[in-house]
Amino acid sequence: MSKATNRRRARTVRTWISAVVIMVWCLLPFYWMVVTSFRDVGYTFDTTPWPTHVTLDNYATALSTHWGNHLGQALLNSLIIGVSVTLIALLVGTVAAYALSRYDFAGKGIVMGAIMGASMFPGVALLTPLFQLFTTIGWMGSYQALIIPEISFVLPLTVYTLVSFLREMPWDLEEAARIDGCTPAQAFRKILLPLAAPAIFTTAILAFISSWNEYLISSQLSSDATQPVTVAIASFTGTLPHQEPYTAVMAAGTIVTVPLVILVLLFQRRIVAGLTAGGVKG
Amino acid sequence: MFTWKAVEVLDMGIGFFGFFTAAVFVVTVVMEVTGGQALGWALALLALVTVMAALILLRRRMLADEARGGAPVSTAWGGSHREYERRRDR
Repeated sequence: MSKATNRRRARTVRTWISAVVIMVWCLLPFYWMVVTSFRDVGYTFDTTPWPTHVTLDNYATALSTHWGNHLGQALLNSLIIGVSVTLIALLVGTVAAYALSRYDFAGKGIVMGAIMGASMFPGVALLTPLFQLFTTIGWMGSYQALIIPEISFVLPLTVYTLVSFLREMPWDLEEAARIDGCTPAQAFRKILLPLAAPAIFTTAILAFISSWNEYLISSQLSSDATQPVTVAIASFTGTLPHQEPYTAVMAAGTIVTVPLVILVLLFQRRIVAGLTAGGVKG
Repeated sequence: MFTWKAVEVLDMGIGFFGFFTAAVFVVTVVMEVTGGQALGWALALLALVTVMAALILLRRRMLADEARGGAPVSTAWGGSHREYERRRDR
């Protein structure tokens, strides 16, 4: 066997080992969550790597309202908040990204830098002023108190993803449309938006996932009626006082995570394509 | 493939630090007016303003070098219509 073949083989083995290690590192917590969710309460801390004493009682407990847990309502709240945040962020972000990527104006770079700076601002520093503001105007515990701050977190991601995609779009089509009599707004709506649909779709998925997973702001600004799943799971109560119902929490976590996993698996190619837009020539 | 121009990167840096400079400036003024401990915030503001000044001076120098025939650093932003026209008419 030649040296080149041996080196190629060794490289392939190293690549596979690295891939397996990364996969195990990332998926093991999720796998453990699913396994624990199927375990009987008495065997919560059993260390067997596969499900033992399998039961569906944890899922029944997670979805039940008997102990004061409202996972169903929380799922609906998360859906309302996620969809609202995504739609508004896309509406504003697409137009902003078009202006930032296709037009030259004074201070454009500064605007881009300010958006980046705003996205890196620590969210915990905003908690107290937001709490005070929403208490003053009577929005505490309302949907808008959760949606508006989350838009501010999601918007920079939306703008940056779409700017990098729209920059690569050819001007020829737009110019041809303008020559044919389209206004810039019509060219944007009728030519560019349909072409940018994959990127917009990808950005929507990323924005939705970001909003779905948000906990910090939601934990302080939501009420029992408007709390999303992240807050609902964290405040799960068991059958006894001061009891932490780990198996029910794992079941709730699985219920909440599975839709996102399915969403990402279905659209993984579009997500990767949207994230790497502009990275490869042509 | 889209490539960043040097001045574009500087512009974004100015915007990035400018945002935090504005935030720290507001905090410093509020702390000073309300009688709180403003020294730390003022020192942070001074550091940020120094960074901003350095970036702005560097930007001016790069543009001046380009005007004297140096490396092109300030052509129109990639993706814009001006850049498209510049490449089309080249």
